[in-house]
Amino acid sequence: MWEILDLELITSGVRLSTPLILAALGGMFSERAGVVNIALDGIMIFGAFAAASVAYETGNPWLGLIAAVLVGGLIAHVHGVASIRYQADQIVSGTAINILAIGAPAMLANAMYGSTSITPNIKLSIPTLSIPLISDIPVVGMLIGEYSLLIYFAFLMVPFSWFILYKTSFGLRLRSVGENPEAADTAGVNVYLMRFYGVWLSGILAGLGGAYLSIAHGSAYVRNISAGRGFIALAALIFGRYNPKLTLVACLMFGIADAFQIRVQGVIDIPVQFIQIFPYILTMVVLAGLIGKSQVPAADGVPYTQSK
Amino acid sequence: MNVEKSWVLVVFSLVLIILFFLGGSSMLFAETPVKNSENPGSVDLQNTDWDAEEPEKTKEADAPIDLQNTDWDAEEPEKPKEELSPIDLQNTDWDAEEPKKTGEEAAPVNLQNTDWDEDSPKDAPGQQMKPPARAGVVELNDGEISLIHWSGGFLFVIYLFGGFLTAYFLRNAGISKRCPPDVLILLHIFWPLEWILSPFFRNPVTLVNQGG
Repeated sequence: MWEILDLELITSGVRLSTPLILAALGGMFSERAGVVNIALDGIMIFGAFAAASVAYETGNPWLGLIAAVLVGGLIAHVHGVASIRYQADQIVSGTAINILAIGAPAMLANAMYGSTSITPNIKLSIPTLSIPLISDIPVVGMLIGEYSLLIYFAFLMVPFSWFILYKTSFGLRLRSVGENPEAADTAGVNVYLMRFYGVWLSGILAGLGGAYLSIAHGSAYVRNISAGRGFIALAALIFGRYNPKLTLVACLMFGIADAFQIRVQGVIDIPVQFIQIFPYILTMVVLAGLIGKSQVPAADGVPYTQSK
Repeated sequence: MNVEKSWVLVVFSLVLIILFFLGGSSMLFAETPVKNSENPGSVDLQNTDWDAEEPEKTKEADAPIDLQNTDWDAEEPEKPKEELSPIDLQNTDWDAEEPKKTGEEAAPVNLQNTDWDEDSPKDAPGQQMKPPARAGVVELNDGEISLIHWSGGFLFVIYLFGGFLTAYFLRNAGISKRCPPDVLILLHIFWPLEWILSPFFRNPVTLVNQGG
């Protein structure tokens, strides 16, 4: 039993937390701007399908990444138009996109490849980067020395997002429209545009999270590839109190929990199904314990109408 | 309908047209077994001339097997001897040495030293050992793979940061002042289009009340 608690657990936890980090950072930009984005899971699925199919058709995984960014941005844009421009209920709009993500990629996969559940394997995936010198150090090299490029990108996005959010005028405006849109509007900030920026960034990052699943961690799109990771990312975001650094810690915790349930299968004499629900149970516990205590942006989920 | 709404409608209809076109073309060119004309099991029901007389079948095909008049007790005709003669395993001398193969047959194929790229004559011993190339699969060498990664990675970085830089540099340009937020975001997503369009959108003229 104890032999599974080794460095491999942490490295596989890092790999599994990467889509959570990307989606949670995306969700953070959206929620900080005052738009609840529960469509992260659906956007991840769309991004995963777009990445896998374009990477297969072109033979270039980087073009798959661009496709994931494009499709993620466009799907998030639909959510933005519905919830910001036409002031629809943000939960309903997000749910609609999640439902669409169940059927639309399956339909397209069937039309393109004759199967609703899987796309053909891609020839090349996103390459792995081995950091010179660091990868040769015994323990440190194993922990941070050799991962997919998208993993490094996701981890670099954490300080970058923190900088954007807390050290730039753009971040200040973004936070202001999420806290008090009337005051921001009075100060001359374009509330609608800033909210669209937040939703746009969430779509791009969630799309990249989905692309990681299909062309970096795996080599094809399979049906329901996200397996609820968009919702787990939302839980990590709430657990991290809408702060990039704390969100990173929360995502790592969920990722390691996921890696643990994979490694523990077959070691303990418990039915696999019970082991597999461990990350989701953890998500529910975190949400039940922290959802009231987390500092939600004051105008989060509240549509804004500009006074004439 | 105001100008902003018409912008939204035009852009969304364009996106929908592109999506439908892509979906439709992929369905059209998808290889489905039903549409395959070479499929022997498929019958073209629409173009069949139902009134035409069916051609007569040959007598062999027509003649049914007369099950009632068959003599079930009669012995089945013997099969040719070649089929019936099994290898006599019991009387085989297992200790006897197998006769050595001669000539080309006996020569072992040296797989490690075989030059696979060299064109060898058809009757050369190593010829049949060469793995056949799979149809439709293009093998890439390391140079091609690194070229794909470098060019693709460069494109990805250009696209991603191009969008952000476009949003930053054109934030005070005329196009960002005139477009509604949702259209402006779409232009950021397809940012080369924004650069192309930006010269056509001049900054809006602001009237300054000079008093009097």
